[in-house]
Amino acid sequence: MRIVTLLVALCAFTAAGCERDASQTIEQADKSFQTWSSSLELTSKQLDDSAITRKYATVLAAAAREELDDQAESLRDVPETDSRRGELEERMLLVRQRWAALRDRAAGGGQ
Amino acid sequence: MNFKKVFEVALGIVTSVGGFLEAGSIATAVQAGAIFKFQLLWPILLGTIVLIFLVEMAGRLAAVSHHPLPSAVRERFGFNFYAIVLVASTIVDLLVLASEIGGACMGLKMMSGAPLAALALPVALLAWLLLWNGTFGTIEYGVSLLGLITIVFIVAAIKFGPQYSQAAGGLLPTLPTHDKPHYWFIAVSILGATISPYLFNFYSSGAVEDEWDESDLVPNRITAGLGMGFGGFTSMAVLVCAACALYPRGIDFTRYEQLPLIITPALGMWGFWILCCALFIACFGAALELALDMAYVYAQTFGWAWGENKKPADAARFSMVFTIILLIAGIIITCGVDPLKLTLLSMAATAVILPLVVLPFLVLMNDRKFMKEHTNGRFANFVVFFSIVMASIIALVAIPLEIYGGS
Repeated sequence: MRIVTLLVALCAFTAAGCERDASQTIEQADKSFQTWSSSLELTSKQLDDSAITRKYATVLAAAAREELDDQAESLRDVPETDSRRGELEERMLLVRQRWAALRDRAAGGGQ
Repeated sequence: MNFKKVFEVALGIVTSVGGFLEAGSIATAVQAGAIFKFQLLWPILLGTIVLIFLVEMAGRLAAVSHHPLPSAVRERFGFNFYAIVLVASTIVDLLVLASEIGGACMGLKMMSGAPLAALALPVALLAWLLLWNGTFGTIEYGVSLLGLITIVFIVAAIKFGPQYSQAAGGLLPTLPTHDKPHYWFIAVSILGATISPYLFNFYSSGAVEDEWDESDLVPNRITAGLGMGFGGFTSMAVLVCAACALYPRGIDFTRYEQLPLIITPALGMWGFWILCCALFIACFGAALELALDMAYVYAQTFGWAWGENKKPADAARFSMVFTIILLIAGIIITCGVDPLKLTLLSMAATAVILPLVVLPFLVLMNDRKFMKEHTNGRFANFVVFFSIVMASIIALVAIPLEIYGGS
């Protein structure tokens, strides 16, 4: 009986977890942009130092793009009236620029 | 101990170190180091201590009673009870196996650029071919010896030159200052990754395959202590690398693709290649052990012929089990499941089912019918019981909080 009670509580918690409010979305996006901005910067530096292969830089850039697309999708759920959404979208643009630069360099294009 | 025994112990220690790291221990340690710097070294230490006790117990059980763990539990508690353990273990082990296949594929992906979905089934097929044609020695020694490549993490950690006093402070449990639910979730994931039931199940079945007897009790104790101890040290080195490379830059570990970044700042291009190989070998080796372990568990539970040294035709149902589960695990990764998320979830789930697996094991280790005069001491009973129950309770609270994202 105790096990059943625990399982029910676990399911209730899980169900509650399915809904995320705007603040959580903002916080998540903020963390993600910080993570990927720094990851792209470090990868770029490692490419300069010949510490990684171009192929790996392409793989990381693809992962970064998927993550940024996911965050862009989540941010659409935040009301447009929320000023934090605008700020984060501007940050996202900067991260995307960094991503595009790495992608081009990994492909053998730009510097 | 004669020379042969000394050689076996040395080989046992080396293979334990080489076989220690796998997708779960790598992923959880990197995430811990990236977010909490050195603060989560203590679950690795605690998990390693408990694992040393459990592995030693599994070897002792096999040497004294000549029973591998699953068949001994079934005999002591009956089939109905063991069926519950079997179902829970099967679900969790399958998730862990899929995450290991995913980790191995990530190693290949970072080297070749090939998509994960294209790599999963060939990797599962390669594992199957090795299990089908190989012997227990090939799996235990061959792959684990290759796994010594994971020492690259220790080399990188030293090269980073961390603040050792600060790192040592992480060996004592402290309360988190931020991301509290995530802190506890990672802590239990680390415990789940370190105290993997398949490790001691596999060890006991291997001891029976190698026909251990009571003369192996001392070598068993040395192998468990030093092998798992050094293995735990490697795991701590992974965390230290992440703490030095990712934490100062505010990089959270959310994708396996970021893994080389914990090594390349210290070791450069050769570190990149070794890391990718290490990830592949560590995860692939763990996948072999897990698949074999699940086959052992099923065969021993239902009384089928079993043994990796037997020809597949002589242990047909045993071979069928690892064939089917490798196929399912390969399909899970082919379907596009994120290997990192799967790894973290499966490690936390492992922590939840630990009492189900470990508590009957403890009862068994105190049963004179099985263990004669070699039953557990009070200290071993206390350490294992307390740690397992604590890990499970934290997991039951931390998993919903992690999903909910609350504080």
